[in-house]
Amino acid sequence: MKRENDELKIDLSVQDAELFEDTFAGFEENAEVTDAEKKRVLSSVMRKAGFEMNEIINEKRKNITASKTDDTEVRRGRIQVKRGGIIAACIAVLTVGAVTVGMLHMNNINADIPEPAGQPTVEGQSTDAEDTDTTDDNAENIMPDLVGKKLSDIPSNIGYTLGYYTIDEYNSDYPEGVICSQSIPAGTVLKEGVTVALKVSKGTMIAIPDVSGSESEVAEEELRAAGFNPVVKEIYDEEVPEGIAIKTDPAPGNKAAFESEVTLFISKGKLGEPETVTVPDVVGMNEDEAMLLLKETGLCVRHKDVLNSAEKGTVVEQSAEPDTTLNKYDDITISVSAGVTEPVKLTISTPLPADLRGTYRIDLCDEDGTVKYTKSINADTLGDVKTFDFDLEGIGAEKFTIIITSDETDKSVIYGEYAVDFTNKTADIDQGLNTDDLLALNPAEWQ
Amino acid sequence: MTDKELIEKLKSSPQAGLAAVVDRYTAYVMKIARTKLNGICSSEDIEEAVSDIFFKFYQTGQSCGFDIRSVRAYLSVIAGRHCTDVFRKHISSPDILPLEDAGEIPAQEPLSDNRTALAAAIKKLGEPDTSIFIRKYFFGQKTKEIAEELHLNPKAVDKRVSRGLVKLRKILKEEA
Repeated sequence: MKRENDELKIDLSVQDAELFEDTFAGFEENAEVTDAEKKRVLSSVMRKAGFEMNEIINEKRKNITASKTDDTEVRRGRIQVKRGGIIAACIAVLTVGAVTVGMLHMNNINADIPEPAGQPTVEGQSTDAEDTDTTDDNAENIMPDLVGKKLSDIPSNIGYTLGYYTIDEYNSDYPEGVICSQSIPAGTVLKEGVTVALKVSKGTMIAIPDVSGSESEVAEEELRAAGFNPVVKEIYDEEVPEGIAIKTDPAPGNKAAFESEVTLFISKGKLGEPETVTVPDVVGMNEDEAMLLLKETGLCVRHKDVLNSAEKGTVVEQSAEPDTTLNKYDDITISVSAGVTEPVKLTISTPLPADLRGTYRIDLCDEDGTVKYTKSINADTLGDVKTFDFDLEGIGAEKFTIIITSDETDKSVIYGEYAVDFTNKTADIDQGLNTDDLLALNPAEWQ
Repeated sequence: MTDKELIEKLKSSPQAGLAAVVDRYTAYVMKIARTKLNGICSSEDIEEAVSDIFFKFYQTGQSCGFDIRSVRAYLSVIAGRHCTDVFRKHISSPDILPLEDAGEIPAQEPLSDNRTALAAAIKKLGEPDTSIFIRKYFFGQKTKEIAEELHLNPKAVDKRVSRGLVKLRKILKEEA
């Protein structure tokens, strides 16, 4: 599947993103991940973040009691042991240091753990970076099966190179305080410095009640009474009226952890009803005031000059009645008095190229594209100095586009644009006349 | 666990805090990565990108002492940018992307007015348009998927996008 780069367009800053927390939460609704994927990601992240025993030792060295640190030296992130028979004790003490800051949850640490069999030792003050890598055949370095055991019962000497952290979660199978899963399977040979995540049950799950059809506040209260923490999300719904509970996530009947979050979906009414605004009364205001007020209301304003005896520039009519409701950004047209009651008459004469031949229809269109005036000409009978005239009537300022269409081929060109000022009785041609394109419409024998 | 609780935990105990953030947000970040990278990268690469995103979150968070207001917003930005990087690298070169080449994400990148104005304008569109725009232009979700997840007709989504663009232009112009 090929995709284009332009699909990745918006780059939000952190501050921007905070605006969209609810939107992001909505995006998460259908997110799914398997336990295995979750476990792999967790393990990979913890590894990248350096949460391994030797790193923890570095970080927490200051917490280690003096009597024990005498026997250890941390060098280049690896543990060196100067005297045999104390490594287990050192590790245990280091772990106590970690526990004091909440990094680890080792319990019942015994600093007098006997020297594990087969433990390599280094004598003297050697500064060589000789590691204390454990041997794989050391029975104490095999990950034990902790599932089903109480966290408080875990022996202090499980795999002396092992640290662990806990994640609390509700679980229907295990009572509170009991380990329900471990990130490293039982029987795995533990390498130096690994950490294991233990999920500890926070207790059993409870069934979610059906609150659909209840009013928002009632539904929230029912969920709270049942032991959940409702998180309200408003969504559009074609059938359920506004303010009424539609469903919950997880769905009713499913079990969820006590005090866990349950998303409660409340109807916002029918799908996609746009934001609305109330139309203000702008009749009688001057044009600028009216434009400003309507824009602030959230409407798009158009204006037209009309014949009216009211002072020039006064709004005499609005296309939507005051106090009615419109969608935000809808158009509203205000009619502005031109200060006159009779339209101004004006005749405009436009030159044509002397080489033009054939018969044509000439249309004058207003800014909306509506043909306001039309006439036919025969260029062959116009003589050497060719022009065409239009008698216009109007008020204020208007723009017209001249479109000339060949009767023979039905092809059209935009010949030019007029900016007509009826008040000052002037007409300017914007950007010149397009004589080249017009001559291209000449009958074939004249090309 | 709420974001506030996660941030407290990150501050008091980074390891437990990070584990809790990963536990809480893996599904969300995975969805962002899958939306942006499905068909471009293998599922293994996507998983790797997700783990890189959490690691970057941790790195940048640590540099500011986890003085952040929203874990979700923070992760969303990092995820968006990291996936864009991965996307570009995979388009230009199918080779595996080493993390150190992916570029650093500044923790508190200075804001340009334009971008804030655009984000505020998208927010002003109101729902469901805001969701549609964020899903389409930030997460790169396809119209069909947006329609399914927001319970809308795909044509309605397209129509809302084209109308929304006009509205955005107006909002930005009015506020300029």
